Amino acid sequence: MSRIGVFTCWCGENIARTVDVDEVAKRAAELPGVRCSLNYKYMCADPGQAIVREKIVSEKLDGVVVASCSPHMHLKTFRKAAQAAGLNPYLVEMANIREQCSWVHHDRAQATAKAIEIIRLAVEKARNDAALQPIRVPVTRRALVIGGGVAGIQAALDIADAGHEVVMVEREPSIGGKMAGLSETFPTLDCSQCILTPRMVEVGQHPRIKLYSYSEVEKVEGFVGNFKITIRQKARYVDISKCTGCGECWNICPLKRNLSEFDYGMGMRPAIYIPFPQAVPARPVIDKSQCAKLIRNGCGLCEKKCKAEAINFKDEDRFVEEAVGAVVVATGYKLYSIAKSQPKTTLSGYGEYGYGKYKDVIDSLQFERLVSASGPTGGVLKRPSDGAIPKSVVFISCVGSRDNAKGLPYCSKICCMYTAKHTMLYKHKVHDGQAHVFYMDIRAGGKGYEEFVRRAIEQDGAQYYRGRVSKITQEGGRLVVRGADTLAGMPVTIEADMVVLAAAMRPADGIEELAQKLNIGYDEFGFLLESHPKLRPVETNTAGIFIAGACHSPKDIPEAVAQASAAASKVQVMLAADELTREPEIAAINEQTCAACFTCVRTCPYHAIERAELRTPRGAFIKNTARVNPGLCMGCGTCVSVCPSKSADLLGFTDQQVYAEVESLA
Amino acid sequence: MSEAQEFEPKIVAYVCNWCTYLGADLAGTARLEYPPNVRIIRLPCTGRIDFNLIIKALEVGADGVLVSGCHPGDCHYTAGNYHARRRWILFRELLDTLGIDLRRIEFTWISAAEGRKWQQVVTEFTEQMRKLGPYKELYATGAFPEVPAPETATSGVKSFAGESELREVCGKLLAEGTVKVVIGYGARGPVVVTRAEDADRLVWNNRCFSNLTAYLKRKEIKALGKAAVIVKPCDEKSLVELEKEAQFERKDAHVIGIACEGVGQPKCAHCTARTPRFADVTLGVAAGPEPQSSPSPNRFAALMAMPPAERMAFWTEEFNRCVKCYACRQVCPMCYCERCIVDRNRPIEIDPAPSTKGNFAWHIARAFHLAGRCVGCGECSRACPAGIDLALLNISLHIAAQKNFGYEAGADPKTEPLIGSYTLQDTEAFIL
Amino acid sequence: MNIGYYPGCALHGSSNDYEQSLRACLSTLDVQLDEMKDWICCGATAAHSLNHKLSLALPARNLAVAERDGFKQLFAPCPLCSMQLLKAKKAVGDERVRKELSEIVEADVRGESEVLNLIQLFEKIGVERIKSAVKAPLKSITAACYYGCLLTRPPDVVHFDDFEQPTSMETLVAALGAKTVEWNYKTECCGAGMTMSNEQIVLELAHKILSNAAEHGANCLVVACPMCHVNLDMKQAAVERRFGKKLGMVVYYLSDLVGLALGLSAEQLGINRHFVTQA
Repeated sequence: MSRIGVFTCWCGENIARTVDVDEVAKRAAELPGVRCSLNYKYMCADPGQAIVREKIVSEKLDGVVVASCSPHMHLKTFRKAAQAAGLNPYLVEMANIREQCSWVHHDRAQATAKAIEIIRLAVEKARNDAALQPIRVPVTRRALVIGGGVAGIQAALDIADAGHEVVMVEREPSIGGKMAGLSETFPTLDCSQCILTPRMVEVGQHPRIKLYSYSEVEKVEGFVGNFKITIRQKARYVDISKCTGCGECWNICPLKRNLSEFDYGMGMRPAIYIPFPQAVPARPVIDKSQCAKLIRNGCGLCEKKCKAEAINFKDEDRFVEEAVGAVVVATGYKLYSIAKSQPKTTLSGYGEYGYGKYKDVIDSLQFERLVSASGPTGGVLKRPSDGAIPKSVVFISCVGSRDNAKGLPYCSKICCMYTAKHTMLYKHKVHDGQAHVFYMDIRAGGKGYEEFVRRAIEQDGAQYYRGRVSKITQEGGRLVVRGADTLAGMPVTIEADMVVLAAAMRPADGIEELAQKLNIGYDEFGFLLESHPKLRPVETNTAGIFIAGACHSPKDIPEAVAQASAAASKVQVMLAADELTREPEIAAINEQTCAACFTCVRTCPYHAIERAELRTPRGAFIKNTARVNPGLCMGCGTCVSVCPSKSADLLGFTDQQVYAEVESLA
Repeated sequence: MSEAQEFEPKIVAYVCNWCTYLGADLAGTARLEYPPNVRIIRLPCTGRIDFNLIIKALEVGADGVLVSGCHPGDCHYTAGNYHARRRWILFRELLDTLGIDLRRIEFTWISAAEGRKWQQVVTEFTEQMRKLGPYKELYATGAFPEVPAPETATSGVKSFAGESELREVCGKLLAEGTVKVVIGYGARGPVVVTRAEDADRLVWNNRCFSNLTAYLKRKEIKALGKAAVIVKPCDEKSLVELEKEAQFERKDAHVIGIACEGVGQPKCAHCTARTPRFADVTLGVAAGPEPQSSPSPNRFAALMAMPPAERMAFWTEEFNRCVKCYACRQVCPMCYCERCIVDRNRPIEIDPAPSTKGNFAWHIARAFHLAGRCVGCGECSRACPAGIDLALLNISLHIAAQKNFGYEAGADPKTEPLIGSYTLQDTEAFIL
Repeated sequence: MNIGYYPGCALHGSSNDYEQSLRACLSTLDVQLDEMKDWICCGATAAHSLNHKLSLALPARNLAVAERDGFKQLFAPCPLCSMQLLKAKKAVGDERVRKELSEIVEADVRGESEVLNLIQLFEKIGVERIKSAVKAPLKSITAACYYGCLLTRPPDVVHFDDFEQPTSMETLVAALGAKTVEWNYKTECCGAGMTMSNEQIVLELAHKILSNAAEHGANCLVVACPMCHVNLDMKQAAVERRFGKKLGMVVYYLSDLVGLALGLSAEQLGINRHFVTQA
């Protein structure tokens, strides 16, 4: 005997404009098992929720159906409301008549008829709902932060300062990310390393942060509150517990001419090296593809020179396990590869700019290193080909961004700002130099950003051309840049000494493999998917895993820092207590009827089902059975489909419920 | 206005909560319009989608069924969609054998970011269903050409002097207490012998066609203690599969294998094993080399050569004779569930009455539950009092398992069972 | 080796010197050109700016006739023709378009034949094979390889070489013992058909091309297109007059260089029929 309450929402105009909510409420009242039915403008608002609570009590409802938006929006909201009124929250269902009805159909009659059917389906489901109790699981009150850039650093410090241990895994030999390589940051023109390195040191010295540098996440097992992470510590060939960072090894290394990754190829480094002087940890690493000792058992000078006996040519990758309760992913970005050959055929590079062919055509991160005081040229802007000081530099925006034909369709957000910054840095260093910028639009939406760009143009004399560049060639030692000036309505040709390309921002390499290990979603560009673009920007659809920084979407440093703190606060909410409550919509096996074929045991992706024995209370053996571990089951229901006797069922989506839903469509 | 123009197809969509449902929500957020014919049933994962749900949707009058979930590799539950994909591959073959219009069932991968794909798929599918019209051909009768009858094998057991050897061996096993019961063939059918002196009741002749492994599941026999079971080489394959499913442990049974040259059943014309491979004791020697032929493709080929409507008419006529006696289930060694799905009443997912839809649902379920498990002993066809060609259904899934996964039931004890496994290379050709 | 041959309007007409060069050079390499029967205009010029369907139907008919007559490969020495044929080939990948074009041309268009430009033909014969057949390495030649617009573009139609920085011609020319230069006008437009309607533009563009080649050290140009040849060779005197400077750049067809390297004479190859015959 059911007493279901159906509450149809207008959602302002969003539903009511297309669906006749009065008709819907009237027809819902006629459905079997429905005790009361009404409609209201905003069910999720306070007064709306109050109505639901009131009806639960006055009509003694044993089930609730809210016909409104997607359950992904407000199922939790209404379950909480029902619970406050004394109704088990798992007796609440939602009928999605907005995202999947009123927003996608325009014919009122058709949309209304469909809404009524959707509600009937939901009512049938609700009639077969059972009151479920949340499952309590212990939670490991530690967090993992993947990525040691500014976002990862911020998140780690926030979580550690709140009193929880943090494990940080960074792929490069040092933390700091892209920000450590920048010269100055907009709009303040703060020295990037000056503001970052104190934070880096804090991470390195924090009593509650365990830093695994030059390491990667190898495997992720478990579930929210109870993750088991396997970390691969890559072989450094240097024992960092013995090493003092004195630098004798990298000074003595004879193989000094290797392209430096930190300098993006603008400078050189030895085979044993520290990426930059302020590295954290300030300990070197040996590149095994370049070291003479590791390749052909030659040299070995560093080992001889090292007084701390820290060099270990027999080093190997090591695997470590860490238990954590929550994960923050902050893996950052890389620049679009402008040269013609691309790993993916849909992105075909910009061969017309001659990047890779002409040495003096470089990208924005390479330019940062050339102007950085601690860069390979000591802050003197020398062009790569011959070291000459360029008197005319062309900056090209949107290389790879906003290009549906052969690049990426999105805007990379930061390039307009850093291009303006580049013209200013250039002018400050080369007083008689002239900067030329080819742009499509200027996007300067942050605090002080617009003023910053005007400064570049009005005070520092940057010349801006609204148009694209068609080709760059080299004539007599100068780079000839041919583009358009659409505001003047003319083509424009500039002879430059150097060209800087503002390449698009893309997620870091390996993001898709990592996302699959963590079981989180990513879009076609590799950017990690948030739970909801407006309301849940730092959560993912996998409980316990959060995202921050450029791995989510292109963004600047203030936004990355803000997002990192947001993710950290979500983690702190999770780690606030010793126990987490888990959703009880998990599998249940009728052990009496189970045929003990154990197909489910083999099938379960989480190994949450085990072989067990059904015994009497006195311990006498009755039969073999499969048994679900409620701490591990994630509620996918795959076991239900493979069970031949249908002894396995999924609470919240039982066979009874699903068949009732289908049959309601007859 | 003609009826065709007024026809609005009814479409049921089973979607996974994390990808396709969110993709449909995204289509809503982006206000991408599509026809209002689809009714979505939200499930946590495509892994949860039992094949019977698809049949049920057709039973309630759906003209088209959409099944959609996360792209391979992106399943929210890591592997649910891989398992689903494997089942869909087999299920489609079964539906095709039955003559069900495959154009009316669409499988797709739609991610949470693919609102536009949802819109496109729903719009195109609805239009296709509109063009195809209402699905009136489901369970429709009609004319169809003859399917060749199963062959009658003329070969048979040569007189096997070993019958006395058999009685001796079994008598000894019982006398020494090595086993407590022998399951064997008697004069009028299978016998269960518990006393050494009764071993004389055991025979070996042309009428020993039953697959005795079906008795291993009986509670009454299990209660007697360690059993010896007499198996022909074809029956022995059942033991391989039963062992994979924890229903049979070699150490808890004594397997007496008999070399066989045929017992006059249709399956004997396609025998591929005359000598037992794994028995504890093997009696007799089969004359000649092991035959090489594979299960009867001729009947199956003749069936598949018919257009779908004629196949449907064939099966409708076959299944209309079914009286739900469940003899096929009783005699099958792989049907060991104590409570069968037809015995469940909350919900009643398969109509227990001998109605057309109830009979179809039962036979589809039985055949599909045997995918990768049926060893082709042919007992179901032999036992059916209505003479329904049940083996033909099992053959279609046997061929599907071989073709798609290189899997043969009963061949190799070391291979993982077909259902519950997946590979990353399982075919995607039919998935949008 | 036999190969199907689609000459197009130019090769039998005003660019007959190109055909002479091709026939001489290819016969030395044992390649027989089987000209297809009943070929019509490829639709390169007026058709594609007036009517899109016509610009597809014209080459489609040529494809249909070639396939009907059993030509699995079709060599089109003029890149305008080869591009048009490839455009039709791509278009008939869409079944609806294929049906429509087949109806229009009253023949079954399948689009299965392979279409080759001159460079691709030499690559099919084999660069190594040609290299080993060289009798007179071209030591005095420093060539600027000029691709023009249609050999490598549109990339999703012709699928040939890198459309920004192509190198296939250089590879072949180097195999003949000649030197090549890296220069900046490899793929820049020569003005094409405007040589009739607006000659001044062609003179300006040709001037840039010829000058840039000379500035980068080339003593001649190599082309694989009869249109390019007209604008750079026939119009060179007008360029010199207009810009008041001597250029004297011989413009070779690619088959000229191959033929010379194989030991043929300038007369056999028709090089004496060019407008600019010596520096």
